Amino acid sequence: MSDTDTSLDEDPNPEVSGPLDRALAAALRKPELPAGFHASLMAQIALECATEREAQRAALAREHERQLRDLRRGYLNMRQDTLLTVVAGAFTCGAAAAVGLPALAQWTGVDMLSLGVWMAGGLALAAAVTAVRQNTRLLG
Amino acid sequence: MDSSPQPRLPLPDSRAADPAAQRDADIELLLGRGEADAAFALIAMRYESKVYRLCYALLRNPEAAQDAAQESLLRVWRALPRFDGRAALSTWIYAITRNRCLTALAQASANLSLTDEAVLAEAEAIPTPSRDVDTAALLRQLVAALPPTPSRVVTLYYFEERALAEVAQMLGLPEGTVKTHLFRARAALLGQLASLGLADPELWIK
Repeated sequence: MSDTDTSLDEDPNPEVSGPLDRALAAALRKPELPAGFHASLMAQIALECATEREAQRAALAREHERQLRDLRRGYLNMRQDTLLTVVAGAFTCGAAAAVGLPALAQWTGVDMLSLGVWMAGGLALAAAVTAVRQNTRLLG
Repeated sequence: MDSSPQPRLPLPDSRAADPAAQRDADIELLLGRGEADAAFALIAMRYESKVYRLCYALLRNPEAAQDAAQESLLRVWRALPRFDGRAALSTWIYAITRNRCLTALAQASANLSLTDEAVLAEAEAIPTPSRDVDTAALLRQLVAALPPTPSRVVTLYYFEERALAEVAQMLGLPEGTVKTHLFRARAALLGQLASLGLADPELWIK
């Protein structure tokens, strides 16, 4: 789209400006776009897209590794906590039995050995169920 | 490329009447829908040649112009998702292009040594006029020898086939300023031609 050239309207030398205008138009022809310009541009854009995707993929892979490490660390901590809980629980029960069994045996009239076996079995079962439920919940 | 659409401001009345804004309304519509790739395909089709001509006018070297034009369009592509429509798309594209070219010019002048300046001065020397002088080549040299802004105005004016508004937009100048530069440049060229013994208009076109 060309606008009307009004720059000649106030020209004091229109008899030479017209020829000069034509001479300049002939001398300053618009340059053509170099061959392969568009293809080269699109190739650069494609390369930049690929580089960006590769960088995103690498970042996602790093994040995935980090989350896996956190998950494993959490699982190990959970197993350690469970073990400590079981050991502490067993110790506490043992101490309670050592203190309370004689009194209980005297009060109920049942011998201590039978009472001890039943109590130990019940506690072991409770501890095992607790441990299994914890493992199941944490591992999904 | 992140293609999530940016909030777009309503077109102000002054821009709505702007022919360039109307011409690129289809591109801005695609950008508003988040279709940046499709928008860039249209931009490349419509502006590749103009961007190249602007770079050529500013840098005066075909190879440098090609590099600068490609780099400019690459920057347009990267920044396209962030274009918010405050300025006309063409204004925005030309501003990116001019900045790229000015950076290239600054780097080139920083790398220029005295030896290079001497070589350039010799290469750009106006030849002794004669009736057999290549007037077109002479005119190109005279235009290149003008001060930077008038030189660019004259060059682009004829590259863009006398589209004054387009030249003003490409150079980021008001149309009145472009007209003034054209008027003064023509007067300067006429004076130089006369001083070279080429005052006769019949010598200018062969």
